[in-house]
Amino acid sequence: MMDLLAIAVGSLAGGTLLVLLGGLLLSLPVVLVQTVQVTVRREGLPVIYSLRSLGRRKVTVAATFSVLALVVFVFTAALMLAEGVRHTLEATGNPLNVKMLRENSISEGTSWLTEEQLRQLSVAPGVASDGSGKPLVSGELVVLIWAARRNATGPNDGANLTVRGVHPVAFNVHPARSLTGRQFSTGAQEIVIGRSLAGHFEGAELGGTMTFADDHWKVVGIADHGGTAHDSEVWGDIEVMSTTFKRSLTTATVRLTDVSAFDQFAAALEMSSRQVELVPKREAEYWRELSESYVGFVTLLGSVVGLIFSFGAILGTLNTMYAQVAARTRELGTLRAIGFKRRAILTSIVLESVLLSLAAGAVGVLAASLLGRSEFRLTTVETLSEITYRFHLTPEIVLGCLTLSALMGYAGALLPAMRAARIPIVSAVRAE
Amino acid sequence: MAILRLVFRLALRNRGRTLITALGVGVTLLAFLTLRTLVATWYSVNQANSSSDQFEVRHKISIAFPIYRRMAERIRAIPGVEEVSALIWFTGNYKDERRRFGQLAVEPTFFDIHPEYAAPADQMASYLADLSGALVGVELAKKYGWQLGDKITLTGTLFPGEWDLTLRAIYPGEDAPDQARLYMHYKHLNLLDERAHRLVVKASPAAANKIDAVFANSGTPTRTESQLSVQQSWASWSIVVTNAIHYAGALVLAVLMLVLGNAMAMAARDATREYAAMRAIGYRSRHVMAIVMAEGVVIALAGVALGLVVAPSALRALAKLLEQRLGGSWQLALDPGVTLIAAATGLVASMIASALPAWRSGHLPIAEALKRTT
Repeated sequence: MMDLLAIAVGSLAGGTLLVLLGGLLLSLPVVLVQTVQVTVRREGLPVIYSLRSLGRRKVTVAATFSVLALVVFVFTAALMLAEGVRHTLEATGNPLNVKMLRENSISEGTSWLTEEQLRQLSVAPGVASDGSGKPLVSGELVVLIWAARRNATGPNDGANLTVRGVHPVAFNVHPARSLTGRQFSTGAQEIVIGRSLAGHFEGAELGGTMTFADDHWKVVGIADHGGTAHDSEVWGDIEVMSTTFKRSLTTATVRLTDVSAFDQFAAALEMSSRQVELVPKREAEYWRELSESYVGFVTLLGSVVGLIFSFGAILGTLNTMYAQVAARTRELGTLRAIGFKRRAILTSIVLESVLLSLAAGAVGVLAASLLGRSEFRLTTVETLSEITYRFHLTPEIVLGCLTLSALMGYAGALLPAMRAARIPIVSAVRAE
Repeated sequence: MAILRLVFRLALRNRGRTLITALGVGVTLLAFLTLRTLVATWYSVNQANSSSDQFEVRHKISIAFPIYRRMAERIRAIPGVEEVSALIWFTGNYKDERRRFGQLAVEPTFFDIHPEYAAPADQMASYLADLSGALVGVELAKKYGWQLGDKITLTGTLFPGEWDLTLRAIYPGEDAPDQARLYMHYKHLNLLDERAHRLVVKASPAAANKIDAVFANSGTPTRTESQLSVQQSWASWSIVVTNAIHYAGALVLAVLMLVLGNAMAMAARDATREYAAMRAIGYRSRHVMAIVMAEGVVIALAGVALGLVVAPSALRALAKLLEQRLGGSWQLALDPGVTLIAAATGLVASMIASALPAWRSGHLPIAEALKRTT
């Protein structure tokens, strides 16, 4: 019974929403055409009139402005969060790189390969080489360690971090933007940490000592990978790591001569029957897949909440614009009496509201853009390791959010504008 | 009573505005409810009250390293330890990869340690009797339309190949934090080295504290964590999201107050002359303030009621959307506590919102106000 009621209410609400949305979309071209007509024939009210009208009811307009700005802020921030995760992980993948994973492995940590397979990768076609003719094939050992945070609040205040045991060639396959300090020396208990770890984990500073795997590791360098997932990793010599963790290679990254060499490379691997268990995957694609679950969740949540919010904001605007029109009945009637057309009134009111919402939207986006420097840390479900991300603003987000704010202003103004345009002149000029 | 009638008349004078305002309050309340319910669901999944005798033992160095089932014997030997079960995260794919759900391979003793995942006795017996049997949560069975006896084929990622399981039991999981898991037999994996991702232990806290010392100098050092802290660390990634949701929740209230406060300011302005007249015939400013406040509360109440009526269907639609887009099972039910908090917050917010317009109406310069035309 309750179910039935809920379904009925749900479909009623959904239906109403659809009708409103449909009406709004259908009206948009009509109003646009009228705006063009009014502009071309120079029969419109001056833009300054719309602006000054807004200034006449400061409190009401300020309240609506704040609502619109808040809504745009929330929406922009949610999209920036999702984009931050996507951007960081996608930037980690170099378009020229190919990651080798065991068939069906989800992450670098759960894959494995043999030294023999690594040697075969080096002679595959399409593989780039460095200046001295050494193939750019990086065999890597990826493991997770648990590290305590700096000034930890308790024994469980820490995170799982990715440790990547590498050969020196890795610095050419995954070139860092810059390195403070130096590279670890071969055979030594030394590590290079990503810049996002520095200062956030116990001993994670130049010259400091990190403790994991029952051993002490000297931090000899801090690498800046330009905001990618490698910035949240610990790198060390693969031979030392192999001994410590009693593991061998888990994955390999191959640098190709150019992007189009992938097919040739993959085909050659398929030919040699011993390689079937190893699947080449573009590095960018590997990292993009890791980002999908978060990006999906945050984008969806942000959109749903943003949509509900914007509906609320539209209602607020609607109220304000109705009040604006009601307060100016005589004035609008007079304008009609001295010859301004209905469509001039209509476009003027719509313009008034759109200007307001665009300005509010700009403030909302601007406020959200201040988040751009702040970091957040998430444990990725697939790798179980913690990665640092930053809010990321793109031109698409700015454009999308400004369009949304303009649409909110339009939606809130349409009905009041139509009422204003239909005011009968005679009774309007007599109004209080 | 006369005052109350006056309040209703006032609220109904500008019906369009009242309707829009109530709708606005309802919509923002709906947003608030949605956010709150999401957070509440999140916590109930990740931080359900585990009993204090449930522990998990894992490799000390890395959670990705295996430990071994044979270690269970030495753990059982510690006085105070009742049961031990090996656990493997199977991480297989069912049909297409995007719809992954929790798949755990465990020993029969697991269900003595975690009775919240046990099925009714007869089903349990038939699951235990079939090595390729599967035990799934009621939500998972509902989602895929599985019946007892159905074949479920998983493609292994850690354990290559196609794994054919037969659904033997469904756990109701009223007390279980996750009602969308699949359990299978650890033995079915046929692991020759008997490795495990974790050993799940039922023990007194004192006994659990001794486990790590037993393996300290072995080839497999361990780290024993209480079930509660494990869940908390799993949930820690979500702190960013829950924080964001909390901030958004606060912003919702700000929006609600602005929408309502704005409408109340407009209403109070429209009634300026009447309020001035009331003051002139002897009503005190507190009467006028009460009337304005009451109007705000009445409109807010209507909005709150509206939001609460629509909320169940909205949450259901959201749950469906989340399942479609992200997979998994989402049970977004309106919690009475959350509802109460939302309604109360809505009312308090409405009172704060109408306070300023009320104060202004109550303190009008009477002579000036009587002359005012708009």
